[in-house]
Amino acid sequence: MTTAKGPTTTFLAQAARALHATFLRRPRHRIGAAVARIGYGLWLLALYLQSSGIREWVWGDAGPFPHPLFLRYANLADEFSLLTYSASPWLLNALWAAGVAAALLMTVGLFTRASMLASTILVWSFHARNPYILDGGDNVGRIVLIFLLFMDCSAYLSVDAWRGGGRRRVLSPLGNLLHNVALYTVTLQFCVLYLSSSLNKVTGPLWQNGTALYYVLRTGQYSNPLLGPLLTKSYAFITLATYATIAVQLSFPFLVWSRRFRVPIVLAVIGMHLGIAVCMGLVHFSHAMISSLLLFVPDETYRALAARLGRRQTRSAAGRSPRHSRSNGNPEPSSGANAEPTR
Amino acid sequence: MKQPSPRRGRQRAIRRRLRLFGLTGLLLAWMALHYAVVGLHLLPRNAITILHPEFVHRYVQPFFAQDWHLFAPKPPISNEWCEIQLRLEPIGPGAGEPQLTRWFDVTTPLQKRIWANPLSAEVTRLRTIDGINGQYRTFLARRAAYPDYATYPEAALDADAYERLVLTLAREVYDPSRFRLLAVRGRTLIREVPPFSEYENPNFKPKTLKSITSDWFLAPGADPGR
Repeated sequence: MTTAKGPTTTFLAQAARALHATFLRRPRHRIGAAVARIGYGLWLLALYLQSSGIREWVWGDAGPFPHPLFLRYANLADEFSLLTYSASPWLLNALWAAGVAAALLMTVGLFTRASMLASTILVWSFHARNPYILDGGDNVGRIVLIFLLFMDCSAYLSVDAWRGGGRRRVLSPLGNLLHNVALYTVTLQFCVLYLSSSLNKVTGPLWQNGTALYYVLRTGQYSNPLLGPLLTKSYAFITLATYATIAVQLSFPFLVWSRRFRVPIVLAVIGMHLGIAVCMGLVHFSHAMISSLLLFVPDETYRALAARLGRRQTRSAAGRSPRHSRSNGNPEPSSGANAEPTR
Repeated sequence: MKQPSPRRGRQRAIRRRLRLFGLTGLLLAWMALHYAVVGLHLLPRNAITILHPEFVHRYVQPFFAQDWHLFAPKPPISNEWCEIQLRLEPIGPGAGEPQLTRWFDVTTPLQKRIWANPLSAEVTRLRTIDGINGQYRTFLARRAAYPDYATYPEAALDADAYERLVLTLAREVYDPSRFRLLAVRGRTLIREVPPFSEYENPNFKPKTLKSITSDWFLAPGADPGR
């Protein structure tokens, strides 16, 4: 016997199916999560190693922000840091070494979840210890690291995956749910970030008249001494680059949800951040942003890229193979599928 | 062993599925609330944030506090230098009177080293110096507007951090075997970059827009009378 379903029942059934497909069926962007994990692991390593020679100046009592001042700050700002417990250089050095080790394990994907948790706690501790050095990259990095903890970041490109014999761990529906909710939360975080930044830019007179980047590239601090004078000579470049920055940032929150435009907009934003790193010297900031953006690239795109790279590698190996070139004199196989050297 | 009836098994599966959907709904509701509060934190002051500042502050601090101005609405339109001047007392037999040094430019040498190697440790040093210097300038501006501002704990912290910064930087520029540090002060010079209207004028001379000089800070153990 069939029962007639009302519109409400149909709507609820459709909503449940959509929720199931989006959040519960499978973890999305697992390769992206692994790439983001590696990106952030390297970002943390850079943070620790860059300051290794002056760590007592930056985070210790040898510098401008000694422990008593830090305790006053931590108390005022309600900041959490493991470095509040002691002013001893031993503690600083031990936590610094632990930070390097955790970042290294996170990068290679060994004891991934534990190393990511340790990395998050340690980076929060060091950021709180010297709040004056923080920039937008640190701000986004520490927020994204919290959400990455709920994602499965070790399914690909990790020692943990290799130890599992290359078999992908099947997550429980709850694991899928947490992974996907964290993914959407990070995506929304970036939408909020670029929407806020672009709306602030739209209201700025120098952004409106297309000269903002001219001023940025004329300051000593944010202008690459080799590229800055060259780029500011071209008013066309300055105007176009200023408007392109606003356009890219403003489009991101809308286009990142579209399957068709996701990869192009992510690539455009990555291009913008590479430009910021090279022309303005904000390497640390751009590194954090790009690491997060790589999370939004779908697994299919990574697989297609890997397949294309694999084909090219096989083709160039075949081209280099002396036996191959001697045997038939045809160094270019016709397609990737036939990329084996012919005998 | 007694097998569970297919009906009971189906009921259990439905209950499990309902729990998962309930949890999904809760997490989505949290996500909506989270970004509503983060949005309020990022928006200019409005009725909600004025009436309930504690709620927004307590939620975003310390884990979700954020600021995405990123050179907007006003990008940097000037160059800034941090300089320090020292009052030194010669030591040893026949030592003379205390003397005032020239102003030492702290920023430019660091910037040059950073551009030679953007991954060097100097990046962190310059960011610390800029950060403390910026906070101290805010402190001076607010103290000039509201004289009791200096008594606020946040303001006192910024002033003390700046004092410690200039004393730390001073130690790097004099020879302690010949001199004893008596006091140090800092100065920030703000010079305009050529405006876009002077884009093709190679003879344009940028003006110094501001010169902000700090108080003198006594070195630890120095005699205030010297």
